[in-house]
Amino acid sequence: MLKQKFNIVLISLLLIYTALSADEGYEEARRLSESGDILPLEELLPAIRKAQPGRILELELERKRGRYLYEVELLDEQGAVWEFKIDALTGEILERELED
Amino acid sequence: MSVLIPNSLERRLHLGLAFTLILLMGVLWLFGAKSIESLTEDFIASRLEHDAEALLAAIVFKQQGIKVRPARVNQIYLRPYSGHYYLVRQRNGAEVTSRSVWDFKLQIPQMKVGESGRLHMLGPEKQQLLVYVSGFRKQGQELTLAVAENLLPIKQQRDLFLRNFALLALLGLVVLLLLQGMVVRQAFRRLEPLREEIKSLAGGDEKRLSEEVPDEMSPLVKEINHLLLLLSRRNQRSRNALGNLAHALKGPMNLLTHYFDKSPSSESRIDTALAGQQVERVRLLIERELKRARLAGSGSTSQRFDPQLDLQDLLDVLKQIYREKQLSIEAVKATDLSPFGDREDILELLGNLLDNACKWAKSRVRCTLTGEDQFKIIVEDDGEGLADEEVARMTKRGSRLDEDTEGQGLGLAIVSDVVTLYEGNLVFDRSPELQGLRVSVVLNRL
Repeated sequence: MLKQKFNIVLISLLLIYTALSADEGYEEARRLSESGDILPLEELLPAIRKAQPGRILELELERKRGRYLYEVELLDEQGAVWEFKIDALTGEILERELED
Repeated sequence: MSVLIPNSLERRLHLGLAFTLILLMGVLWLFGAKSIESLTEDFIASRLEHDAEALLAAIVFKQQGIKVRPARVNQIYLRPYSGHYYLVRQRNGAEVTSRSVWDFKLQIPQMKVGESGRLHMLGPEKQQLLVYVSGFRKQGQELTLAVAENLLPIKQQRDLFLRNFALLALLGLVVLLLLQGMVVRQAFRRLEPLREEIKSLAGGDEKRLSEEVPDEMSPLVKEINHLLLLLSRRNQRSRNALGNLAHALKGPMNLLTHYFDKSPSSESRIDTALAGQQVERVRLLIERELKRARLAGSGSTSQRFDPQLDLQDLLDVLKQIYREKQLSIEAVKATDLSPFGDREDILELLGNLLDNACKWAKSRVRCTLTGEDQFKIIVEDDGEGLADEEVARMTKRGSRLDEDTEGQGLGLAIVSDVVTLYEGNLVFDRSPELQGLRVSVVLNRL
């Protein structure tokens, strides 16, 4: 019983943390684009839009093996959600898939 | 005529209507566009103002600086480039933006506490932002808050609406012009009877135009009628003058003709015969002119035939002409006979009938005049009369002696014309009392 309660608290804390970290990501992106470590989002978007027009649903900045990646979710006109992975420094599209 | 001032009334009305409507629609469109723009902007601005206040409430001060409690602001401020943004700047220049701004730089001016304003600026990806900026003080800290919204989606909606409105206005214009064309043509169709009337006026069937026309045409029709009246009076006057002249000449001509006819053959010389021929020709010309004048219209109405005065004169002339025959010419007339018809017409009719009777009579001629509404003339003589088949032929409708046989036969062409003119009738038969020809004429009052 107690363990269960603890679990719930843990999960909710985790959720809050991830939510917070997702929210805070943009501030890091701001710092990085100001320092020139990544390109500004506005310069990256045209390449994605060219590959797939749509509205941005969600955006995350990740760091993998020393590279900054943007994970972008796009909603197209037909209502399908696309997921892109793009190199935040070069703008190269690394992955493109229709989300299940 | 230039394109702008065309000769066609319909096209002129079209131009007028088109011009007015385009002007009206244009003003309406401009007014509508401005109204919608300011209305939507006001609406969005007031929403931004509320969001700014909610944002102010969501701000908490931490050790590291200010934080905005995410649960207290709308989700739309979290999605990157969503079109809804905010920015909070402290007095020292430290800024916090909404997540939606991501790494975009919003250039927001510093505001003093209590100051506020509206700005238009470009956002990320060329978004057109309406920014509400305001200065606040919270827990002793001076803050500049900016809340922005992308106007593009609403602008697109607005442009679509304005385009549709313009299309609709254009369609309305076309429909109105078509309708107006129909109305105008309908109106002009009402003038068609007038045209027909004028046509039949030329044909002589009508004396004046009907004034049952649209009000706009009424003055024109009245003028035409006035002109027609003037013309017909003038025409009448000249016709009367011509008729009167011919009448006036007729008496002397008759006397001259008789003079030459009755001249003893011993005295006859070649020039007398020539003169006689010329006089006869002139007499025939006058005869023809008189007939034409009479046929052309109602003729001179200046003088009426007065049986009390005119008949006696006529009889005197006849007695003079036929004085050698010693005829007894008897006139029987009702004492209350009122003047009737045109003097010259009746004199001519009576003169012809009596002259004829005198020519064929042995000794007696009788002329009887009666009538009230109608005027009845009976002329009888005691001559040979006509054979039954001749009577039948002459009584037959349409059988008339025409101008060519004038002076020969019975010389009844003029008589017949006058009878026709007065819508009367003419009957030949044998007189029961005098045993000669009896001619009965009934004339109607005109």
